[in-house]
Amino acid sequence: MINYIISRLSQTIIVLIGVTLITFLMVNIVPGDPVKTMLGMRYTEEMAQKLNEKYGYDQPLPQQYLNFVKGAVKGDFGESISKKVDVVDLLSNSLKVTLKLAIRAFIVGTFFGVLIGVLAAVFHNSIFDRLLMTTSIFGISIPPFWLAIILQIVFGLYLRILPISGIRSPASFVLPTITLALGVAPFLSRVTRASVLEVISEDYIRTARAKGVREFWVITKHVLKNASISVVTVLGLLIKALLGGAILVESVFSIPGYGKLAVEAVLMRDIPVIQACVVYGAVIFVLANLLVDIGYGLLDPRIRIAKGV
Amino acid sequence: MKRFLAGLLVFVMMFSLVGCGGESAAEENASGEAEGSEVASEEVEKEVFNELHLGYDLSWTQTLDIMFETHGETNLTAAQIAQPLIGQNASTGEMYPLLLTKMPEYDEDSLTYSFELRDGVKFHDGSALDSDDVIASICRIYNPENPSSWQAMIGFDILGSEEYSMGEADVIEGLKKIDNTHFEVVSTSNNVVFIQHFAAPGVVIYPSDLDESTWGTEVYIGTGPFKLESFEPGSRVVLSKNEDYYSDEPEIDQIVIDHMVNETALLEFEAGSIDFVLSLPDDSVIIDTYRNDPVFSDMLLEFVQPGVVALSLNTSFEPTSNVKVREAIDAAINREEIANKLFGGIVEPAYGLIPPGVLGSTDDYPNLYDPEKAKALLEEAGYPDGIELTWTLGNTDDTKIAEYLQQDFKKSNISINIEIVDTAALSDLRGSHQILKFGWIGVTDPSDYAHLYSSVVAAIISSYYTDETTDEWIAQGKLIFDEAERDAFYKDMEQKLIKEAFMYLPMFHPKGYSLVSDRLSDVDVNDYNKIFLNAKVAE
Repeated sequence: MINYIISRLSQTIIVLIGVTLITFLMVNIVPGDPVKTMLGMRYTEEMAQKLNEKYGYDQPLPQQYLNFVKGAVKGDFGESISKKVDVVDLLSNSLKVTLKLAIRAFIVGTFFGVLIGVLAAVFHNSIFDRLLMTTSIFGISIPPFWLAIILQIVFGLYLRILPISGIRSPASFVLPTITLALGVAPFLSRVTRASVLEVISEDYIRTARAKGVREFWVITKHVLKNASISVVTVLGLLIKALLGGAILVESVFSIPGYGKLAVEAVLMRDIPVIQACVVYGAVIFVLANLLVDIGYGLLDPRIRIAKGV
Repeated sequence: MKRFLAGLLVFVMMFSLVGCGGESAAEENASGEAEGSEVASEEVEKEVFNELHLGYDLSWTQTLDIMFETHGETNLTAAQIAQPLIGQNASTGEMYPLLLTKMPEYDEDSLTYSFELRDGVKFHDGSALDSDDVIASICRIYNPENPSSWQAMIGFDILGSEEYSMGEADVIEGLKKIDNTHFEVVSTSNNVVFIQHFAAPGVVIYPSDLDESTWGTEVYIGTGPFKLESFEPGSRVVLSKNEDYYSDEPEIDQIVIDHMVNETALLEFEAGSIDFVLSLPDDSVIIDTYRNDPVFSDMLLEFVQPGVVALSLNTSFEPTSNVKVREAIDAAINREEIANKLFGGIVEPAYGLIPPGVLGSTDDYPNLYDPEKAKALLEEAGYPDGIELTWTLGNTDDTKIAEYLQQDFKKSNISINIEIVDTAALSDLRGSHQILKFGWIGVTDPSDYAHLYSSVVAAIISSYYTDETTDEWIAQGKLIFDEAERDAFYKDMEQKLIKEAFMYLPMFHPKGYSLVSDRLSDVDVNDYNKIFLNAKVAE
């Protein structure tokens, strides 16, 4: 297991080089000069020249990329062009917030997604099943920003039982968590239902029932474990979707998170922040994939042996 | 039973995770503040009697160092802490001594302004304000290694400032200390707007011995009515009353400013969570909603916001290089309808760049909207079948004006293609735009708008209109002290550049709208240095 983890982590370096190189090239190819954008109406040739020298944009592109790599290896991504503060500080503060939100949404979304999926499968073809799956369709179709605003108005403005914005209190996490979780749970419930239905008709499940195992343990111990492989695969994808979905939720709830920071950086061509966001994002995605792979191994010993996990 | 209880326990723990991190988030925020902030006090446990809660966009407020920040929200926050030498009312333009005993005396022969600092002014760390602090602060703006954003705003009107900023001099020749409370500043010319530089929001006075590595993020002190308690960049600012303030002590004990986007701030205001919304969006539907609401109508505050929104036409290539084409486009703009119908009366039609109430304003023209005249002018210019133009907008720009004009221009045989690009691409495309919309919020001095005619700005906003006399003209305006003469001078400038050369096509002057809760009173929205100085919060 340890060797497998080390091997996967070492692949991360290759991923990071590829991702940062592609990002660097794209940012320099698309229209938009970061110094011009920052100076706006205060643009003068002299100021632009000073800033280009300060940030190294007067150097050839390969040199700029090398400078970035040298800094990144030391954990130094430089200073944000638009916000004039250290990029690592900027990113750490925003990532902390987003991860807190994403983890909560992940837990809530997974719990309800799996629960609804299992219940729908167990009560397959009943009114209950149809109701749950119809609800999941609504959940998938509802735009998250619309839902966020509705929740703010209903619970924050009219009922006044939850905060409208920010992350100042435990209660202030509730609405953003629900919004994000509703982007995860419906889809997960459908995958879980399909997966459970596939397993529940297997011979070994019939055997377990014939042996007199209580239905609760048939479902939780035998069915769910075997149905989990597909669910874990989807969870890996949903972790990435959560980080992406957080952008809209952060905007509506005025949460100073990673998503908002990344979007602002792209719009302002804040190259140091863009590159740092890409590096951090890539690391998170690689770790998420690694967790998924380890999860496979834990759930299914056959996969563990085959992969050498 | 045991298994059931175990399952129930797991269920409960999962839900508690949704909330428990919030407490740890608050703890972490507090510890983050403690780690990084030298001036962040312990979490406020003392009784706070009057707390003002504000909410606006702090996402750009990553540093409070106003010398390197020009966003309005950061201006408002930092103005409570650090002050310039001179204060100014944004609506009347009236200047008054803030850190000075009186307005500086001017000797025209030597171009020298003599300043006298007010007695008893202290920074929040208890140190006394003196001339060295003023000189160091002004030098910091022109620092050759790291020039302030405000350098471009105030220019090189101080003698020796340009050489200093280029690294060719060790001191600014025009800054002279006389003693701890007296100093002189020498101008490069007999410039009527020179003194306004010392009222600029970014030309504030800091202690001369500040630590650059922590300034604005962990440490930020000034002479203002409020001092910094804690700062979470992009998230929250907490200010407390400066009990040693040299003037009237503020009524409010504490100001808490939380980050929120404008739309969320409106919801929070309606829910009673915040007491003040700095600026409502330019949307007549929103403003009318509050205007007509029995609860909120009294809380809506309209204030003067000197400024202009105009179109810039690229004069470096056809067809907009032709003055008759530009005049035709001008005649195709129905300014009255834009102001009254499209914007529902929340803006005023503009016929010049200089807004009403400012010297040189030329808003007494009749409505020039005339599609038939526009068609005739195009024919004269050699375009009998009309013209087709591309209007480039940024993705954050309001598109409704462009869409409105796209339809209305058809009556004048002008076809508009609207192209939307992101903000950075918009900057990069400068120079190749055919039409560009720009806005300027300025002060109540005509020179602030006249600089938009300069060759430098004309290039930035893709006009490229060049007239070798324009830059000299702009410089000339700053040398006129007599008000009547200045009024005539700038009227003449606007006549020639707007009404004859059609260098820019003004559209409207914006108005400002804020929301002030009924528990908050005596807020002065026209002066950021005093906005909350006398404000009171009802219990």
